[in-house]
Amino acid sequence: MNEAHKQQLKQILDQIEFLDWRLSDYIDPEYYDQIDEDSPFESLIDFLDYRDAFEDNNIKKYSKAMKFLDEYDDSLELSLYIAHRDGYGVLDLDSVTLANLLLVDMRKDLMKDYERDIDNFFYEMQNNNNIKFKETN
Amino acid sequence: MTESTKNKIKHYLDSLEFDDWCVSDYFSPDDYEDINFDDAYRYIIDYIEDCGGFDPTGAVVYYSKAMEFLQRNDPTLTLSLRLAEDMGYNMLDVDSEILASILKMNMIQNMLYDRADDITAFFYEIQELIHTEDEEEE
Repeated sequence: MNEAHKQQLKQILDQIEFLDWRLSDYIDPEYYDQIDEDSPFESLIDFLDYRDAFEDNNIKKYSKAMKFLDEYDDSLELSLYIAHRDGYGVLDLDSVTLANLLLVDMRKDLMKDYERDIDNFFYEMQNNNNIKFKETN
Repeated sequence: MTESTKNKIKHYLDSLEFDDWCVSDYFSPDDYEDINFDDAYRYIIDYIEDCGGFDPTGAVVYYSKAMEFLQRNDPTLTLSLRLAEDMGYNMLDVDSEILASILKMNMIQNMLYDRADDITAFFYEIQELIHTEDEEEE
């Protein structure tokens, strides 16, 4: 991946931000070459998951947790659904846990909104490289 | 029972309140004579229970206020979640409105429990008052 491509990908990743969390903070452009070009989105998710990027900078205080839940899930239905889906029992839960489950889910959801952009970027980059390769041969 | 005694009881039952929930809502002054003054606390609790007064639906905290109520009274959510589970709710059946209503009803019952001695003492005094009134009448 040349510098121009890295710059383009960084611009896409810079857009994936939620509150004070920005995805591009967790992957240095020098690692862009490690992304699997055949399934870039999944590869990027794996890379970020491995670095606990989605769990980073989570909510630690109950007051902040309740404020977050009030703002993004005031019925609590979504966060309780996520907790159930992830195998939590009622006695394992408190507002901080629920808020963080929701926060991580929202970050991952936000990233899914850019799945097509990321896949298209790699697809076009591969195509351009193939054309250049054919032209030089 | 004189009107004055009924007013005293009404005034007292009005004071047994929590938010918009009040014991006096479950008793008409005509019912006061049926109260078992020897065990008034238990009688009141049983009576309200029979009326469905401790059902969480009787203390509904609507969505708009539910999170505010939970934030103020159970910021960790651990108590309301535990109460919901004890009542047989599944995690997917509850929401902030149900949790807040369950918690509110629990707080109402605790409030009444905390005032059990006071309730007993009040109705003991009322019993004495009625006894005196009866004697004066005779």
